[in-house]
Amino acid sequence: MFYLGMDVGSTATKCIVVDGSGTIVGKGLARGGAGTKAPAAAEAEALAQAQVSESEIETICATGYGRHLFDQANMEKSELSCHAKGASRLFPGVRTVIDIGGQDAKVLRLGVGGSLENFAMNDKCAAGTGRFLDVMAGVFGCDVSELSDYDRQSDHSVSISSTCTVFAESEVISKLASGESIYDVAAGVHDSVVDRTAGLANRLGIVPPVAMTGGVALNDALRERLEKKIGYPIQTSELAQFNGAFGAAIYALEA
Amino acid sequence: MADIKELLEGFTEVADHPKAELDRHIAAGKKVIGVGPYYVLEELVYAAGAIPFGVWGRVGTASKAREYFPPFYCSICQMTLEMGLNHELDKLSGIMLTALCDTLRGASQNFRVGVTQVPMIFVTQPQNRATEAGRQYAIDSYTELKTTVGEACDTIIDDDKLAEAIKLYNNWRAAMRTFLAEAAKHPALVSVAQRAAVVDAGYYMDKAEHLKKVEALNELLAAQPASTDGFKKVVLSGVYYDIPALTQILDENHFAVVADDIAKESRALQLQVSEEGDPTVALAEAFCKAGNDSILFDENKGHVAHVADLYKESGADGVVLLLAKFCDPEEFDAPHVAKACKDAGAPFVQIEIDQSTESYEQARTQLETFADIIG
Ligand code: SF4
Repeated sequence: MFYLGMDVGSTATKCIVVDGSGTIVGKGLARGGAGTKAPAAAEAEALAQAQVSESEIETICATGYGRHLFDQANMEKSELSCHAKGASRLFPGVRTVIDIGGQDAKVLRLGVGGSLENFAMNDKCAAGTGRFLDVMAGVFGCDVSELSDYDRQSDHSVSISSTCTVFAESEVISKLASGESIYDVAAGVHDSVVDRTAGLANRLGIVPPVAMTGGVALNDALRERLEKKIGYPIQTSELAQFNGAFGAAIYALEA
Repeated sequence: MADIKELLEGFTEVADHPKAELDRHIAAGKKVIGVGPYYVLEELVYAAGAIPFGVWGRVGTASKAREYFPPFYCSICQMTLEMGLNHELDKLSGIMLTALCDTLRGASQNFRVGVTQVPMIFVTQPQNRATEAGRQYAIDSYTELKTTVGEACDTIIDDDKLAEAIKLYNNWRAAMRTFLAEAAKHPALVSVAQRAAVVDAGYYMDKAEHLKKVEALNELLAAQPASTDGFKKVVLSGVYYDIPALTQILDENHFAVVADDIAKESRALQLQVSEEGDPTVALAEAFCKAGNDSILFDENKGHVAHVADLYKESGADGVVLLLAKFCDPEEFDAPHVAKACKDAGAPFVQIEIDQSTESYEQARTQLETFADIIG
């Protein structure tokens, strides 16, 4: 039998299928969240990759902001609990997990056995989230996945002082207009996210080892800046974006 | 006799439709005086033969009030002015507003200028309450208010009537404290939303009528076996939580409020006024004795330790701080409260709330996770 975890996020939907031993056998990702076709698309992709039919799925656990709208789920779990569960498997022994998603940033503290002990979330504001980077990539006219390369070509970071996404966007535009290089401004954008994330992590207290999940974890340059800022190495995984869905799948397995 | 469910439905009906309750008072030929937060001496209104009617803003979005306030202003103040500007308060013969926080001070003056059809009765209270000068200030202010409130109600408030009102309010506050304790023991019978409704109804109904119903409810609850099985026991701290989207999340996640440090609940209900001597002096002295509140100046910050004490005494599983957005007094205390809870070993979560917030999805995630952690 197989178990499915579905993370219906704000900007993307992720799906993971695990077998009875908790090993990942399929994954799917589709742009779009609740109320779109993304959940069905992500599920279809994960099932196809796992070569498993829907009838072979024993339990489905949904998580993420749109979890309530995913009717096929047998159970729901808060995304923070799922992130903790997933991270404890992806990064055995990890104590602090930093997750920067599309619309929020969260820091989780895990106990020695991998259970969720405490957490902190960003304010209701896009600053310091994936959305902030999307907006800035829009200003640079590049894809968000290119930001890391831009940063690597910078020789100094241009400080972005506005914390609000809207104000920061105009600040970035004016910095570019005043002749700053796009690479240095990109580095400044990264520093702005890093400052907010480090602030959030410090609010909770950082206990190593530290891991990072969510789509932004794959941005190497940003992750390295964050490592420097908090003073600890940060592990990540190519499955970083699937961490919540993986945790949900494990919950489904354990149910 | 009505059963628990019927009584709770009655309170919820009033809490959900304050305007209908206001119309009922007016139809009965009563004068009604609005009462804002905090520690307003409603007894004066009652003694004047009028009905005190709670006005703590309402859930909604401020639009006209935006002309008077910047966006970073607490929603109680914004929405109270919005209600006034939208003519929702026109049937009031006056509204009593305090200046216990800086935000309220500006709000009360804006109300006076913007809502000319509802006379604003300014309630001045001392912040330095432990000194003789503070006590005298409170007595002088309350003596003046006795005349002002009397005038707004076309009467002269006499001391016998005021003493009667004090007695009624003391009984009511005692019954309400009992109710909160009974609700804490019976979460399966009284949901978080219903608990808030019983309290809110008390702000709108004639206190004598509300008292009778609360006493009946208390008796029925006390006869039921106490049980919090299957619930996550929490202490709620903050100014208010009577926001349907929020109470729904608390109920869906099986939270039981086993103790509270809520300004609209236990902080307000702590007052016990002496029934001896000059009633105006007694009201002033009762206010000076109030404590454990972020809104009241206290150089020892007793409020902070009080929240941790509530956690220890109530046997709660954790503390939920519902931080009113843009509220300075609460925001100043919040880090200290968080630390005191941490020191006491209390799992702690802080959720930002606001009457104008449209989506509580982030709060839902945080509360669901908190339920997982303490469950
Ligand atoms: S104490 Fe806080 S919530 Fe109350 S009126 Fe003042 S700012 Fe608003």
